[in-house]
Amino acid sequence: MTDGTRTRLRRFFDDAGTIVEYGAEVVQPGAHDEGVLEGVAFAFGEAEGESCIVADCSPRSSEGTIGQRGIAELIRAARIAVRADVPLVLLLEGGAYRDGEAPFYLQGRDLSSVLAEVRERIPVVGVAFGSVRGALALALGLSHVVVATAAATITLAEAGAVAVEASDAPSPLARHGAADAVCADEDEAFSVVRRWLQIIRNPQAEHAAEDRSDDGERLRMLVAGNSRRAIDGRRLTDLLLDRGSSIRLRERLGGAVQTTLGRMGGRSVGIVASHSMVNAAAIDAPAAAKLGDFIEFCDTFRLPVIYLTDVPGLMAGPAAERTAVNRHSIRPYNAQARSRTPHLTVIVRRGFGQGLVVMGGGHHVPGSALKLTWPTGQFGVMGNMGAATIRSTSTSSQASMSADEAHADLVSRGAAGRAVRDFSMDALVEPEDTREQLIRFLTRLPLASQTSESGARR
Amino acid sequence: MKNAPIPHPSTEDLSLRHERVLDAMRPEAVAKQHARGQLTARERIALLLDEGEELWESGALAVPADDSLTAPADGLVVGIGHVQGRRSMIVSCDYTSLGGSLGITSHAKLTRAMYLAERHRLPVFALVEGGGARAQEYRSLPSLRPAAAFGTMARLSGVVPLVGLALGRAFAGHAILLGECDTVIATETAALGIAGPPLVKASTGQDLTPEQIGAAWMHAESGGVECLVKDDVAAIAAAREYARYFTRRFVAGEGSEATAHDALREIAARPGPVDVHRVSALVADPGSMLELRAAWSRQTTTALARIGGHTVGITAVGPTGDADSAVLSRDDCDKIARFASLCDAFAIPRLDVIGSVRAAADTDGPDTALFRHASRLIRTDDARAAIVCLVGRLDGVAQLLLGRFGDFLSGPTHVMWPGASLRGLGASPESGAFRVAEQYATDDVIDPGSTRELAVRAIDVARESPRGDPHHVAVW
Repeated sequence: MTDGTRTRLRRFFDDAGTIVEYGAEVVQPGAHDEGVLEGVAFAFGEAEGESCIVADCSPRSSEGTIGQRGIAELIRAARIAVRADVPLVLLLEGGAYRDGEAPFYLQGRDLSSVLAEVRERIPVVGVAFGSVRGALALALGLSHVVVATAAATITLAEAGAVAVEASDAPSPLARHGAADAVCADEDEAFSVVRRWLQIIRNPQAEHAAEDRSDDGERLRMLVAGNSRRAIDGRRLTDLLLDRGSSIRLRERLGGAVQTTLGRMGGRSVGIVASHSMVNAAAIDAPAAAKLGDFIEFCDTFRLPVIYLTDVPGLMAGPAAERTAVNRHSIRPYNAQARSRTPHLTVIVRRGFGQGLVVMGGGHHVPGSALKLTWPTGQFGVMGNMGAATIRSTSTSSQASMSADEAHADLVSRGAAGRAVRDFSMDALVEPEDTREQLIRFLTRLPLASQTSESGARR
Repeated sequence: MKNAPIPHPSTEDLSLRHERVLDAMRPEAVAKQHARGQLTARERIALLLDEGEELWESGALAVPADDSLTAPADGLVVGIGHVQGRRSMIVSCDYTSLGGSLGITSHAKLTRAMYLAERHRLPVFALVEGGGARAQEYRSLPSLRPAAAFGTMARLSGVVPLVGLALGRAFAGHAILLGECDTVIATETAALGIAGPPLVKASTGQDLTPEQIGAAWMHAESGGVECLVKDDVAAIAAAREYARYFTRRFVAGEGSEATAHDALREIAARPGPVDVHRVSALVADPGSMLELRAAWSRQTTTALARIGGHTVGITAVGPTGDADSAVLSRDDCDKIARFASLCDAFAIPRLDVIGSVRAAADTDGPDTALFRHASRLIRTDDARAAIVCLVGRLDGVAQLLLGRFGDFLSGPTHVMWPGASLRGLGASPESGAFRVAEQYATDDVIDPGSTRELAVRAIDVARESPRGDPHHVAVW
């Protein structure tokens, strides 16, 4: 019986022979305490060269119940991780509270209140396997990143069936961006967690030279020809990051913005890319919420933020207003105004209105350190068509002209060349030189302490 | 103006220039605004200020950067005056001047206003009406005189109250300005939106009126407007009422304890779920409750109120209508967490009245990420939370989220009515209030009639506890 637990826990580490294990022998309360294992164990060890505490909860019963001893183990794992100043990784399954144990409310201080404090001090990673319920679902909600396997479900309910759809459909956790990353299986989930820890804990990794000779052409092709063609923000991101370094977060939530962790020249960065395949990259309430979370996350772990911008504005129209987009769009804005990390901006194509402001074009970001535009950049305080209509009906003698003339005027005034000449952007950069330019800047930056002094207040 | 010779300065000229911007010199503009049932920018300010108070104004002589346009004070009145006894920053948009649009000059005025508010720690009142940036002036990106108003507001959040009033059509930059505020009070005829008709037409092809795009009631129903009131006069009265909770932390109460006592007992004795909204109103000083976001997520009530004369924040959660139990949703969690953040930022003690609640089953659908929103309710840094009063049955994790059983030993005052109970999470089949008290997981089981009395004492204790770390008000 022990082996199931030990195997998953041990599998996580580089060398299971060097780990320190806790609580693997704990059993469920019973007459003589010789009964069934609780199914919770944790260990102190190393993954990809980074020390961490990993706790594994693999309940024995088919209902996935755990009891007070299991929860006490998880609390102890969290406390030791804080003392040792190492990340805490929670591998979770089950979580309904076992009938017949002393009531949960007698603990006085439960796992979720402990984690609410712990997350302000150290990175916390939650991984969902199978069906995660009740108090353990809250533990995931308090984690800095939530990784789930495709079969996982997360519910606050203690009991009852959880609908899991046919295996070929994307998991509901993926579809709604409830989990940051959804992985095919345990191996992939472990690989994401290990890379995540690496990016957070080691801000500057060794970087071997890569052959990127074709990337310039690929980047150019993204914006070549039809200016209305959608740009895949994920592909754009991956072409600029070190190969194989990217971790995409909450891909399906607010898809107009894609948020990715990765490395550039070995340096840990957070990338925010417009993704015009969803809503033409207009920012709606979910996209704004995701962007806000991500900026706060990068601030917590002192990661530079890089914007790859192609944004027509915030989402317009009654459906968007029904979601209070004017309130939600303040989330990223305020997070940027308070952010302590460098923000680097590359305008790839469109940069309009308040969308541009929250996609790295605003003057409110104290950390704004470099604003580049591709030659394809187009700018405006609001969308050109709308602005032209307004100007054509204006009483201003300076602005008075027909809608078509006004539109042509706006297009010429909003061109990338103008933007660098009137100093609304710092410099022009060619697509193929972009990565190199960003790396040059990043290498000049001192490495900030990567410890989370205080987690982002949500 | 641009090339005119500088005239010989005279006091007459000075007075004339200052008077030109006043309503008395602009009868047509005033008539236009009144015809719509609205007040002018300056009338609104006069109503907002304390009796006999005069505004110190900055930028009365400012004009549009595009000098072919005419807009007194560039369409934005900015100044300082007392509201509820506290010196406050007021910005008031003049819709009769170029539709209240924000030009290059008025953006600078707005920036100045927020810098002054930051410099002198002044509460901010934004009286908003207008259609965003002035398209005629912003023909390319502003690079030389950037507006720092909103960024300053981001820093002011949680430092001083930020109160937004939507008093007409508030679109684009004006809607964002409201979004930067802690609380938005809107009139029934107001409309808010990220993009007004021309931009909606350009991006979606729809021909819509501002009201079709974002009538104030739509925002109230989706949580984007905290208070919906009839007209300008009511909105300004509501803003004054709201501000009073922050600036006058103690106002002698006129509560009749005997009435509350009997009525609370009667509610507790009634079969079926307890009406937590009614309980809250009885525990608070009579007539002192100002509900925020009332039209949204109705099984949760969040209200500023007074208890024993002291400002408190009341959160009440319980079933509405015939429901046996409230089902805690994502919106409930956001509403509760956001309100707690507002109270904590200003060290306002909180009373939670929790009826029968269970968490939603987190299956497919909009609540799939419920666990993330619910985790916002797990708080350990709220020293000013005063009292948690349980009056119904808490199922499963609702015991942790709302019942504070996850940190009873280190948490706020904790009491249960005799009819309250816990089910699930090892409380099998159910633990009554007396059982919980015997096991010492609550401070006491109380006579429902004494709830108000107890709240008064708990709030006295909490008021004197140290403040937590300063923090901003959560945006949502």
